[in-house]
Amino acid sequence: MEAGLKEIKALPNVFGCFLTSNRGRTIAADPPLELTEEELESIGAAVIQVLLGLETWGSPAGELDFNYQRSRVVVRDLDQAALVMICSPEVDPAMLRLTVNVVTRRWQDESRVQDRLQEFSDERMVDLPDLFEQPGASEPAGSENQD
Amino acid sequence: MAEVLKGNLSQLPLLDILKVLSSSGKSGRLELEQGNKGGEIYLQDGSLVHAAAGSQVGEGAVYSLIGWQEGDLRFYPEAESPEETISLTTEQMLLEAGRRAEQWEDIKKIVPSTEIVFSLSPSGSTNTVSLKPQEWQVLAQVDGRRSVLEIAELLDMDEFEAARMTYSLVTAGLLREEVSPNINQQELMGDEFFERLTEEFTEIMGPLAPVIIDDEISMLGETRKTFPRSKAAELVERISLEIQDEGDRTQFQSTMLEVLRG
Repeated sequence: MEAGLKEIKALPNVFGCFLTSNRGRTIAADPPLELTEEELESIGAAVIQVLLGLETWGSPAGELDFNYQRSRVVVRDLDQAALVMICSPEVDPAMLRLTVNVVTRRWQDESRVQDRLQEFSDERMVDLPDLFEQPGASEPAGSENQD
Repeated sequence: MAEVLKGNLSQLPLLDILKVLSSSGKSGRLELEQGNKGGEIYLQDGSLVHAAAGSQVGEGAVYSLIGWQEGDLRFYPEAESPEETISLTTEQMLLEAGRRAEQWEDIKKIVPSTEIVFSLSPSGSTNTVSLKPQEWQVLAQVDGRRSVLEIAELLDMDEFEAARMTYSLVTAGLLREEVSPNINQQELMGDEFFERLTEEFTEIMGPLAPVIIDDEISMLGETRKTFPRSKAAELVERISLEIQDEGDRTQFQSTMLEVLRG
């Protein structure tokens, strides 16, 4: 899993990436140096909230692309989780999508990755206040930083 | 203001969009963006009333924008035009635009991009050549450094007209293509890339593969000769979408990713 994240982060203009669970918990990360664990979880929770909102609205999105003045956040919905990539606006979106396709397809065949995702498998739900007040509350014990 | 229509010109040609908006009597602003270039067209009850693109306004701007092979497009309904710069009727405009779009197809075979630079042909023409005044104006500005687009701006001529004049001058044997400094600055994909792409894609899709590849290159507004590295991943992605089987598609993407990474 970490190798795949590293492969994505190695692309030009990709600052970092992480996998967030359906409850906004960080499953694995190769983030930009300046982002803390709390900040990653806050981004993850916001992303899941948007995905959930679109599902509820009846327009589920396989991919989200948030364009800001100095950054671009691209999200790939993996059903059991979401892959979040933090990039510069100059990122080559096609190169990024190709790499993500290849990496996520490989994950489907890797039992260790699937086991890891299974650990975090949960119905998509976000309760932002709880997330911020009790970080790690619904995390399986000792599940962080394993492959 | 909310946009109701959003797309890319390589998939939604501007001429088709204008026909739809016009026939349905729409009002609003159509905003177009291609790299650092931009343009806008205003419609009022289905009629084109104002357009601007770079230094051009009015009909010339519409014709210039219709020549764009790619770029992003957004439509903002009900936006009111700040001025009226188009005097022709919408039917006349669309008819002329359609005629130009057809001519562009021929012109592109000789002038695939207005970023290309031409220089005087040392051998010249073998026949007697008679030039129209506008052709002479263009010829006088060709110096092996200015692109067709720069010459158009210099002469206050629209991009299409400058490309058309250049086409005539090249076919008359008076001009030859130089490598554009703009194109030269960006890395181009070589023959090896296209050979590998064709080989991998043919293995999956069979003998139609080269035709599909050429179609996609053309949809991106490029030629094999002038294909920039910055669009290579997009080309691979578009081509891969033609592959129905998910396993084959991922395998193709994976192989081509390695090629792209060198």
